[in-house]
Amino acid sequence: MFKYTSSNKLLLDLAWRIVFTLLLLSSSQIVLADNVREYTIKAAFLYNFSKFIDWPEGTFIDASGFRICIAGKNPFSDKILSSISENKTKSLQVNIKRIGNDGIVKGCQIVFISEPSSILGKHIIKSNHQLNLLTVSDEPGFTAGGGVIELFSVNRKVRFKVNLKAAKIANLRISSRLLSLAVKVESGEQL
Amino acid sequence: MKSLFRCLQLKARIAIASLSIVCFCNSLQAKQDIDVSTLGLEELMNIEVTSVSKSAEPLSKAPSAIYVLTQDDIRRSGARSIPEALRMVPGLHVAQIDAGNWAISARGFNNRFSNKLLVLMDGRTLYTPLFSGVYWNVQDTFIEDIERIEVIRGSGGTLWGANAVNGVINITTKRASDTKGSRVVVDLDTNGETLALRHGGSLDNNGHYRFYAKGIDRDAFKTTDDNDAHDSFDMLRAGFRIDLSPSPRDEVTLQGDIYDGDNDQTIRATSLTPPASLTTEDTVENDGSNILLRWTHLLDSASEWTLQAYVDQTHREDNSLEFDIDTYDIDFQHRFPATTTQEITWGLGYRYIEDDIKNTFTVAFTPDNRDQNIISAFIQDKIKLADDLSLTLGTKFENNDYSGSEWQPSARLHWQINEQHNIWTALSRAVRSPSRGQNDLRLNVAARPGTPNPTLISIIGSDDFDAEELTALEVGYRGRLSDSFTLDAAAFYNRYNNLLSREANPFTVEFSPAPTHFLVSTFNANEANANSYGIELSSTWQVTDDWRIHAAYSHLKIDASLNSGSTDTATVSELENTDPEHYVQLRSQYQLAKNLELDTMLYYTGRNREKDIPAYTRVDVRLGWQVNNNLDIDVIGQNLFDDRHPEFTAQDIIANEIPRALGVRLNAKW
Repeated sequence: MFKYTSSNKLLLDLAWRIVFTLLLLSSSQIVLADNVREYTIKAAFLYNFSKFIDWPEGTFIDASGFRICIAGKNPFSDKILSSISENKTKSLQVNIKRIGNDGIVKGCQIVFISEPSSILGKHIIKSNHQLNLLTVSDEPGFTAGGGVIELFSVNRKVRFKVNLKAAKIANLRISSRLLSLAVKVESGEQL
Repeated sequence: MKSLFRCLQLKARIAIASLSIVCFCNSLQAKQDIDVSTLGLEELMNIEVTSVSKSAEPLSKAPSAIYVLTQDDIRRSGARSIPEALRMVPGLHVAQIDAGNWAISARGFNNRFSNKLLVLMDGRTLYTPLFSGVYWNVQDTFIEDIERIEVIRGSGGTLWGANAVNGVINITTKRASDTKGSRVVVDLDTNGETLALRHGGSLDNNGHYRFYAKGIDRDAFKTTDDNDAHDSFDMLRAGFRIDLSPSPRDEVTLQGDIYDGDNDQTIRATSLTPPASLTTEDTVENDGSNILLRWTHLLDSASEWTLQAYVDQTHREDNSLEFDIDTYDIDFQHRFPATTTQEITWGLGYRYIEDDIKNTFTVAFTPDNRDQNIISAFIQDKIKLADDLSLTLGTKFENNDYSGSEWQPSARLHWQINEQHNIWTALSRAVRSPSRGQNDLRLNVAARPGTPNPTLISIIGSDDFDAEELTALEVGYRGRLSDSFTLDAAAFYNRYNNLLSREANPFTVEFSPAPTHFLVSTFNANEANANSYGIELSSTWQVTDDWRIHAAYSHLKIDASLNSGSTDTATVSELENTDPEHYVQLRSQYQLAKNLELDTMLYYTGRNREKDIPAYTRVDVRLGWQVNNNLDIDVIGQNLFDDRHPEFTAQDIIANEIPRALGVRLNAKW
């Protein structure tokens, strides 16, 4: 197997050069960033949406903060949620709230729904003309089913669709800057 | 001696490249872990997530016979090269010719220079324009950095361009952001050894880089009487990839490879002086390089454009042929939603190829250097007819120097019956444009001594050779029959017109080169036709949490005929009989313990009647032990239950039987 042929000699030379390269590399100090996890990005999207949307007048009159709520299963890590709640939006401190099965979404401005087809999910979507919530989900078909913003992925990057009709029903005004980045869904369907 | 010198030259270049990358990285500031909550929308839209749990366009909705090999599939197969990994793709005919050479095709017409299959790596076409075939022994990369290999069986003409007649193999390597850190792979087996290194890291501004170097040394196989088969193969290769995000909406990739290696072969050569037809042992020198730049710009969530340009340089030299080919290619692609129910993708492409050939008596191109221009454009409209029904209409236009303008339209319909079951059907037309060889090559196949004059037998290229045409009808089902069982089934009926045939020239006498000889020759024409039909089944069964079984079966039948008046005598049998009728594949992936994997692969390939190769069964086994987070040790046995068997033969070189191989692979990362 290891005849001393010229190609084996070349292989040894290659090995030598690899070792040399590695030595060089170990002397350099390259800090590797952690791989960015899917729901860390999605959580950051939730916070960012708040900056480009106007809620109906009176929404924040006696609000103690800007509330991002998570209905049903929570896919986000504590680390990213606490890092988001350190920020302010619309001059209000962000706070995060979990919505239980009682379905009380009062005081929420954004609600992330992990399972829109659950009873809780359906209830929120159906009564959003009174709740004025920015409903967000990453479930395929969410905007078609009446949700306001649907997160989806293209080439492992997160993109979003906006259902303009659902936004109107919830009395939300969406800035043109946000819309310029979104796939716009008129009423029901989009590609 | 010359080859050694070239090798040293290459090594010097690799070393300089490695050093300069290292220095480049050190000069940039090290990147810290990012706090995503401080990023804006556009920046967020440009960050890649490690995995996506809910994909917008799952594979089950593709309206074509598509199969994807993931890095995990490749790792668990123990495959050492791209062709070895392709054995796992249902419906693909993968046959090894000797230690380094392969014949690969989909849906028939397999050959060392299969010309009805398009092979791409990261957007770069891998076939040689001389024959429209792939020299598989020079196509390689750092195998662990392959993200996926997507194989479409059937016509991919609309989007992919000429030669995607019977299939497309699309090899995609990982983004540099996914290959951070160092990895060393040492592979030792009874037929050779491989040593490979990769290092990757982060740059400023959300950018990443990696580079790799790899050395392969494959020993010669044995002949049937246990002598050295003179087909050993070695290759040194290095490459890099840099992914940058100059703005939140832009992504730029720069990548390149360089390689140099030799392989021994026994080649057939023809001579007018005795011995007339002889086989000689010689050494092929292969080297080449490529560099590719791709720029993707995001317009909004649903639309983006991509601009890609590459240069590829290939040099190959053996006793019968020496050539240099330079390819320059530029492509533009734009995708956008035209209405709420239609998504349009269109593109333009231009390719310029220049070659320089040193002719020999056996293989001669006239002219011996030639420039080729290929202009192409395509448009595809994906129309959502209803919630569960979508129609994709498209056409590709191509203009090449040999057959002029070609149109390749297709229509594909996908119906999602419910969450579990999908049906698709497609009707398409595809063409295989003539290659340089079919126009300009004179191949002196054999010579027979005789008195007073020898006789020379030749195949002569023809300017009148036109494109080969295909009309394909396909239908498929993809679905989940139970929680643990998925099935993918496709059936096709292909009608080929204007296939290559070899028509007799009048018997003549040639005075040059001396001695004066009789010439029996054929010219390339389009007098053959064929119908082919077949089915391809593949399924996955998750038996338990720890055990998964893949099973696949494919059947292929080809009926060929000649137009009346054709004088061809060999083509019909070649077309009908070169491809085995049956293939079976069974793969088991078993998790023996938390850090121990046992993978077993069985491949059955039916008899090749044309080449008189008996049916064979091949069994590969891999035992993978994850020693710790930094080290994997694999024990790999290939072709376990057979000392050796033939898989294919080639027209120009002597094929050898494929032996058993036992080996160990160490895969370390940090």
